Amino acid sequence: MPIQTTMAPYGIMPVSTADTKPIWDGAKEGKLVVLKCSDCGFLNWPPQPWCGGCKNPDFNKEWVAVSGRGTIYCWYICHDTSITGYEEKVPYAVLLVELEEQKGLLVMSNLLNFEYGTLGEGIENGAAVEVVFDKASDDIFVPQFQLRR
Amino acid sequence: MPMSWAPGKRPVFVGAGSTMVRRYMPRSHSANAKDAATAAIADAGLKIEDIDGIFIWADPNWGPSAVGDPKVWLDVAHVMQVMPWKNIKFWLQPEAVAAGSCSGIQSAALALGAGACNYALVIRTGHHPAGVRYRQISSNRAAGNAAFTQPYGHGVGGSGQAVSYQAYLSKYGAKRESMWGYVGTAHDNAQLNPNAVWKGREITQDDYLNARLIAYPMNIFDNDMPCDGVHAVVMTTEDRAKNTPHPGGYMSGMAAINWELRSTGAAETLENLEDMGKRMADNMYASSGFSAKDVDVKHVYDGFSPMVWMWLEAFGFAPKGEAHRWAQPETIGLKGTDPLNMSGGNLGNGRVHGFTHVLECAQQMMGTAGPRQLEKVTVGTVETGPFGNGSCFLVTKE
Ligand SMILES: [Zn+2]
Repeated sequence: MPIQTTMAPYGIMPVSTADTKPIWDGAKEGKLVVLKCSDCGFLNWPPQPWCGGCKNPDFNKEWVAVSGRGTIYCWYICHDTSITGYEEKVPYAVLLVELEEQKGLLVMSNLLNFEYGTLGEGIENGAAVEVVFDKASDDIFVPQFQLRR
Repeated sequence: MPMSWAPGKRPVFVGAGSTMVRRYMPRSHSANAKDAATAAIADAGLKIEDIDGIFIWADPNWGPSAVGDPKVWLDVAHVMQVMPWKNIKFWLQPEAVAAGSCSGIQSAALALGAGACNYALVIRTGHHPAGVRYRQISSNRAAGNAAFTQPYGHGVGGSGQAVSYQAYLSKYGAKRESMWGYVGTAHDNAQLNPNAVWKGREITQDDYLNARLIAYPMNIFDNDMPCDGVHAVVMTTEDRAKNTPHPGGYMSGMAAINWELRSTGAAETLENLEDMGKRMADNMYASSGFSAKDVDVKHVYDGFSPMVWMWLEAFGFAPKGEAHRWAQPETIGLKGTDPLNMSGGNLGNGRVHGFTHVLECAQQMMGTAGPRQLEKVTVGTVETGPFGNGSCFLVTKE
C-alpha cells in the first residue's frame, strides 16, 4: 500500500459552526483544542450541549489545547466504496485514538505517513501516535494522526 | 423485585406469521404486511375483529432518505389502512433506534397486562427499495458530531461495529476466522427455514473467509443484507390464551439499554459497551427472577456478526472474552448444547431488524417451529439491537 501523506481532497468537508469554531481555529494554528468542563475538569470530544463527566447541561466551558499525543485504541480498514468522494481512497485505515490526557477520550483519525497493509498489517493497538493537521481548505485543517518516533 | 402481573393477565404469544424474506420482492410491503398479519391472526385461531391493539417498533432503520415515505417503512397509520380492522382501541409505536424490535413486544405486553387491549398484533417490515444503494453517503459537508467522523471516510455499513470488533479481537486474542462458527451456523439454520433469504444458497467457510471486505475485520457476510419481508406475532393474556390452539412464551421480564452510561466521545470504548450490555442483561434477569443458566431458547441480535459474541458474554451465556471459542457449531448449532438464533437470525433468515428473533422465540415457545423445534423449551430470551443499543425480554414456556 502506498503511504498516505494526506487525505485531501476531502470528499466530505468539516463545517465550522458556532459550537465548534474554536476547534477549527485552533487546528489552523496547529493546536488540538478540546472542550473542557471547568466544573469537573472533564474533556469533551466532540463538544456536546452537556458535559460528559458531570452530565451538567449548564457546565462552564473552557477551550483548551491538549498535547496531541495518544495511543491507537482500535482501528478498521475501510474497503467499501459507499461514501461519495472516498471511492478512490480505499483501502484506508480509520483509527480511534485515545488521547493521553483522559482515559476513554477517543478521537477519530486516519493514519498518515505510515505504510500499512490492506488488512491493517503493521497497525498495533497501543502504538504511540501524535496529531498532525491535514490541509483540507484554506480555513479547514483536519486533525489527523501519525506514529510517534 | 421481579415484574408482576395480575392473576390471568400474563401476556403470552398465541400466533405467528411471516412472508418469505427476499432481497427484492415484486410486491408492496403493504401487501406483505397484510399477509403476515393475516397469517399470525389465523395461527392464533382468531379473527381480524378480535384484534384490538397494534404495536410496531417503527424506526425506519433503513438509510438516509425517504424516512416518512410509507412505501419505504411501515408505521401504525399505514397498517390501519391496509386491513379491514373493526375494533382497534389502542396502539403504540416506539421509534427510537436504540430500542430495537423487542420494544414492540414490550409495549404490547405492558398494554395487555394493564388491560388497555386484549389481543395485540405486533409487526415489523423489512423493505429494501430497488435501485438505491443501502447506506450511501453522498453529502459533501459534515457539521455537528459528523464533522468529527465522516471526513475520515467513516460510516460504511458496519463501520461502527468494526471498531469495537477490532478492539475485541485485540483484547481477547480472538481471530476473525472463528466468526465462521456463528456465520456458518446462521446459514445452516436458514436451510431449515422455508422463508429464509439464504435458504437454498449455501456458503462455505472459504466463501466466508474470502468474501468482499467492507470494514475489515468485517466482510459482506458479517453484515445482514437489506431485504423485503414481514414478520408478525399475536399476543394476548393468559386467561384468554386458554381458548387458543398453542399459547406459549409467557412474559416474565424485560429491560432496555442503559444509555445513561453512554459517553460523549466519537465512539464508545469496548469496556463501556460491555458494561452497558451487561447492565441491561442483569436488569432483564432481575425483572424475571431467572438467570442465564435457566435459558434454553437463546436469541441475540446478529445484524452485525461481532454483536453475537459481545451479547453472548453480556447475557452470561459465554464467559467474558471466550465467546469466540464458545460460539461454534457443537455448542450453538441446532443439535448443540446451547442452540442459538434457530431461525438463522438476521444473517441467515434476513434483515427484518431483529424481528426474526422475536418470531422464532414465539414459535419455539408455542411449539410451532417445525424442523427447527427444540426439544427442551422452558425459558426463552430475545435481545434486539446492536451493541450500545438494544432491548430484550424473557419468556417462560409455562
Ligand atoms: Zn463536567
